[in-house]
Parts: sequence; structure tokens; C-alpha cells
Amino acid sequence: MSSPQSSGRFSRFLEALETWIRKRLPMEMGWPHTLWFLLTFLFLVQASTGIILWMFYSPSTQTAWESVFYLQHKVPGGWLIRGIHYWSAECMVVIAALLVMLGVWFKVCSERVIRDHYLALCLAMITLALAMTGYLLPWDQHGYWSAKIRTHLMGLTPIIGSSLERLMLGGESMGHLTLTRFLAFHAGLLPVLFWIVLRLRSKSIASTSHSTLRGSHRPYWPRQAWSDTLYAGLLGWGILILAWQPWSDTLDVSLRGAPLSAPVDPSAPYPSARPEWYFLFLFQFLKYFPGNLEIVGAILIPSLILSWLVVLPWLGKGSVLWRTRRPILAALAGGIIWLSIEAIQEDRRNETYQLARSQAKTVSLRARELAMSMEGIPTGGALTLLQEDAKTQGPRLFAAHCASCHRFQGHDGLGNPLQDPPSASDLSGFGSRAWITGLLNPQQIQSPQYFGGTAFIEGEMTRFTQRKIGHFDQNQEAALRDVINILSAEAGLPSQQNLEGDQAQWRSLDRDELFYEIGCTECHPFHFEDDELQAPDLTGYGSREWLISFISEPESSRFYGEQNDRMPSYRTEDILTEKEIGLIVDWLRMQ
Amino acid sequence: MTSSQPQPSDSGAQDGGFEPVSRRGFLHVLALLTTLGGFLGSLLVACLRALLPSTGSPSSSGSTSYLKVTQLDKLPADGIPRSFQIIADHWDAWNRHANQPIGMIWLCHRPDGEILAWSRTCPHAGCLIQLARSQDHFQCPCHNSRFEIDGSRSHENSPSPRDMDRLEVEIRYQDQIWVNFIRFKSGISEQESMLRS
Repeated sequence: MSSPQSSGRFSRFLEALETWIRKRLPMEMGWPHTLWFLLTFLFLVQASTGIILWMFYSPSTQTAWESVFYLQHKVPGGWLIRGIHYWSAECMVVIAALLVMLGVWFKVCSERVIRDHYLALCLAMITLALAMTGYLLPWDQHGYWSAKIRTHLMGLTPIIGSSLERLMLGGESMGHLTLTRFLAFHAGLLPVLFWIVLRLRSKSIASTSHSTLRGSHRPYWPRQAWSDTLYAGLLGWGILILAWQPWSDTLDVSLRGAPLSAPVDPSAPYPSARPEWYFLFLFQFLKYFPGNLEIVGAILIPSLILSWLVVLPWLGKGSVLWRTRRPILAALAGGIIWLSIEAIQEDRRNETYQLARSQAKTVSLRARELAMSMEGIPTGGALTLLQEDAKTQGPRLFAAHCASCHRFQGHDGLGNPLQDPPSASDLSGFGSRAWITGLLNPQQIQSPQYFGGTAFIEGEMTRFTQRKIGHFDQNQEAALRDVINILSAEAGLPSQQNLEGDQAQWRSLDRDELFYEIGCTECHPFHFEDDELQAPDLTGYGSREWLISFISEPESSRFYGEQNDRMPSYRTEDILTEKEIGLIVDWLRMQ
Repeated sequence: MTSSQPQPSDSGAQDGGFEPVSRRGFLHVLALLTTLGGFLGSLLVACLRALLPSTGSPSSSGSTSYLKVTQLDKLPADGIPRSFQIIADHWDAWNRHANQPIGMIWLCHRPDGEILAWSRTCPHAGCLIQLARSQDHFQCPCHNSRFEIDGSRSHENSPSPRDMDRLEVEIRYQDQIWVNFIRFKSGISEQESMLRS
């Protein structure tokens, strides 16, 4: 067994490998060794995929999401690398937790096992820290809000709390410095610590297999070596499948791999924020500690459990804590599982949360759609795309400023049902043929969808509709249909472009004659000016310009004038900017 | 190998030997190749694919890339080369920068009416070629490649492996100078174009 006295690096590596293979393990070292081996394997996978991710990553609030988006959607195979990194991290958390728990369950007190226990505990802590820092790096809504909540909880720690929070965030709030700091933790400091723990552990095995070679030891080669590597291979395939998601029905592979929600928007609430699945139990647990008691659930009890794990092997076999370790561990594991299930069940029953989740998903897909465009992402970041997107901002602004009176398809624009009955019309499809037809229907005009909740419920328009339109004969009804089509064409809605493509059909009609015949122009100006007429001007009715002017100042003589019900003048009273009104209008007209 | 390491035969255990196991070993190797080998192989392929930059960026549209450089009246027909910027949209990974300077050229309007264009990038190592103060030849400041006023190398043993890179010029809409802007690989004697980025 004499190797040539070569001083080459490679031969030294071979020697180390041979020592590793030739080592002898204590009899009870089967599964713990496999778990340690798997962690080493996953660490190497994480290091190699992590370096690739690092090559594409740009840590700043205007480029983090954008660079991850680029990797996920534009770089061939990028989604798979992200996927492997993401799912390996999930597996690492599970295996590290298993290592600690199984260790406490099965181990006996010996010097070596105590050392292993502490090493496993350190490794589990480092793994959690790696997962938590890594989760924020894509700078997407999901990672941001869970990190925000977590650092808030960290800040609850007595005495050092706020310093700890500042240390993590690199300032008072999350920003550029949080990302650079988290990247340094995630890709620099923590992996080095992880590697040190792995080295200490393999040293610890080497020393025991050298010092105590008795009957209770068995060789590593070949059985344990084969099973370790085989498990690693199977785990690798499991990760590949989780990243590949063959069950997913999306054709676009770049939607697979690892999730990427919308870019961070600190200004808007994010009600679908949830921690990673392995922290769901803690999230659920905190619900039982309202207000000032939060610190008990967030800091005190987790610290107690951690200290229990720390002092446990120290106490020796005789102590009460040691003898009761299995029931306590079973209770803890059961509690964690029960709380996790409870959290999932509660969310499933929570309609508000489900709605928020689907909204978040819509925004994520929209962000992706906008960022994919040939215009590229502006240097200000992908958030500006969303902030200037009518499809995203329209419903938000509508919910915030309009939905206290108006409705959109019966909801607040975002899909939330509202308790109070509407006190103004439902604006979905405003200006379309269907909408105007409904308004001019004697049965519908007084419904809450139109004037039911407004001061106009008994107004001129209602009276006109019920007394006159209600008694129309067939010819007049045909004329009314023409009037509706002509009026609706004023809006120039994109959805009616096909219907209105052939303008010739109206050219033959005498517009003024028709409107006069039906009676519209008795009150409404329509392509003429008449200061005597009190009702809103129908010229350009429902068009972008008409709507913006209307929302800006419904009290203007062009619209309701003195008859205006309760609608604020959004622009002249400086409630909304012209840009915001434009976003609402563009969104309304999109439907 | 340290001398303290005991011989495998000393341990007394039956499967303590280090000899490769024959048939069972073969099955083991097969299992390993399909699982661990398959995983590591896929990982390697994915990493390599991601790292090799993709050709054909969003801006490379069509085979020619004529760009408007300047107006005819900005280029007097005195035979003196003048430097112009090439302005185009520039993609940088996820960002698109509109109307950015993406390169520089020399334009020369000869008294006989012919307009010549060269890339300002030196074919040797990619520095920007300058016009000598005497305005009768070009000089690269990095390694002293010298080119005549017609873009050819001044002497055989010039550091530059080829003459200055000529670019095609077109006059469009009567008075606009358009140039087919191409980047060429430096350091080789043949002209080989690189994809625009």
C-alpha cells in the first residue's frame, strides 16, 4: 500500500480520496453519513449553479429583478439552472432539518456524537440563512415581502434587535445596500462557513476512524460508498424533475424552473405575502400571539427550542431533558406539521387571500409580458413598466378612487366584492353598444347598474326613458338602435373596431335628424354647441378625451354642470394627476 | 498515504478489501452512470448553454445594416477624412438604449466626388485610429500602425495585419450619407465580420 512519494497536487488529491474511501465508519453511522454526504453533494450543486447565476446577477433595485428575468426568460437553459438552484435549496433545508431531528432521536451521548450534533445544528442554521438571503435576491414581490416581515421580526429581538435589523438591511429600509449585502452573505460568507462545517465534520470522522478501530466499525467501501452516491444521484434526478415540472401544462419552458413574481413595488400593499413553505408553521404560530405578544412567538419560543437543542447533548444520559427528548421532539415535529397544514387550510378557506393571490399572479404575468417586449426594460427598472401600464394601474386606481360609488362588473375593479350597494353606475363596458342599450332600457335605467344609486334615479333621463322609449313602436326602436350605434362609435372603443369598421352604413343616415327624432338633442348637445342645453355633451361620448375631461371636472358646463351628483372633480380638486386619470380611462376602454 | 493507515486485510472484516467488485460492481457503475452521471451531465449541459452567449440579438435585423450617418453638406469635398459617430439602438442584456453611439467611422469626401468610409477601429488590436496632425495619413496611437490616406498600410511590417476596414457608403434621399456599419474581427489578416450587438 505504498504510494510513490510524489509531491504533486494531483497525487495529494488522490491520496485524500483514497483516505476518504478507505475510512471506516462506526456501526451506527449509516444514515447520518448518507445525509451528510447528500448535503455535501447539494452544496457542490449549489456552488456550481450559484456561480452561473452570479454571472448573470446584478444587485441593485433597478437591475436585480431585471437580470434574473433575463436569465429566466432570455438565456437558453437559464430557467433550468435557476430551477436546480432553487429546488436544491429546498432539499437542503429538508435534509439539514432531518439531520438535526434524527440525530436527537437516535443518538446516544458520546463525545463524537455531541460534536456531530453541534456541527449539524450549525449547518442547519447556515442552510436557513442561505435560503433566507437567497430568497430576496431576485427582488420580486414574494421574496421582498417575506424578507421584510422576517427582518421586522428579527428587529423584535431585545437589545440587539434594531442593530441586527440595520446590519441585515444595510440601512433603515430595504434597497440597493440590502441586495449587495445579501449577495455577499449568500454567495460569500455563508458558503465559506458551510464549507468549514463540512470540513470539520470530515476531520471528525477521520479522527474517530483512526483512533478507535474496533469491532463496532465497518468499512466505508464499498457498500456505504455506493449507497451514498446512489442516493445523491436519485436526489439529483428528483431536483431535475422538480425544476423541469413535466406535469406543468405551460408550453413556455421559461415559466418553469423557479418562480419569479412581479418586480418589487414597495408602494402598493401585497396581501398575498407568505413565507416559504418551511416557515409556514411559524407564520401560523404567530397568529396566536397578537400585538405585543408577537415577541413571544417570534423570538422567545424559537430561542427556547434552539437552546433546548444546544444544551441537550450536554446534559448527559441521566437528565430529565435527555430522557424526555423523544416525546418533546415528536410533539415539536407534530406541531410543525399541524401548524403548516393549518396555515394552508386557512389560506384555502380565505377568499380574500385567494383573490390577492390570483391578482399577484396576474401582475407577475403582466410584468413578464411587458418586459418581453421589443422595447426592452427601461433603465429605471421593470417597475416603471408596471407603473405606466393601464392594465395594471387602472384597476388599482379604480379600486382606490372610484369604487366607493362605482362598480366594475359588480366588483371594485380588482375583483374584490364590496359590502355596500353601488351608489353610481357600473362602468364596465362604458360607452359600448351594450352599455348604452342598457341605459336606454326603461327596465334597467333605475337598476343599481345605472342610475339606481344616484340622484338621477328620478331624473330627466329616467323619465325620458320610461315615458318615451318605453312606448316606442318598431320603426322608432330601429331608429333607436341606429342612434345607439352612432353614439357608441363616438367612443371608438378598441373592442368594437370590428363592428364599426364599415363606417359607410352610418353615412347614409342623417345623424342630426335621427338624434332629433329620438329626442336626445332636446337636452344633450351632439356635434353642435348650445349653452341652453343642461345635459352632458354627447360629442365624443366615451372617447379617451371625453372621459378624461369628464373625470377631471364633471361639474363643468360641458358635462353635468350644476346637476352633478356627488362625483368629485378629480383633476381640478387635485385628487388624481392627469396621467392617473389617463390610466383609469385607458383601462376602462380596454375592456 | 500515511503509514498509520492500516492494511485492509488487517481489519478482518469480509468486505474490507479495496478490490473492484466484478459483476455487482458493473451494475453499480451502471446505476451510478444513469443517476449521478445523468444529473451531473444535464447540469453541465445547462450551464454551458447558458454561459455561451446567444448569437442573433434582437437588434440584428436583416443582412445589411445601413445606418444614416450624416448630411452630405457636413462633409466638404476636400479629401480630408472626418470622424463621425454611428448612432443606433443598443441592446445591453435586458435594457435597450435608444440612439446610442455604437461606433465611430472615418468619412472622406474626395474632390472627385467619391465618398470613402472606414471603420475607426484598428484591425490590429481594436484601438481608435487617429488622423495625423498633418492630415495626410492615419495613425493608430496604441501600436503605431500607420495607414495612408486611402486606408492602406504604409509599410509591410506594420503591426496591423490588414488595411483599414472599408465600409460601403450609399447616398440616400439625395443628401443623406448612409453607411453599412459592420464590425470586423481584429488581429487577423482576413476581414471577418462580427455580429452586431
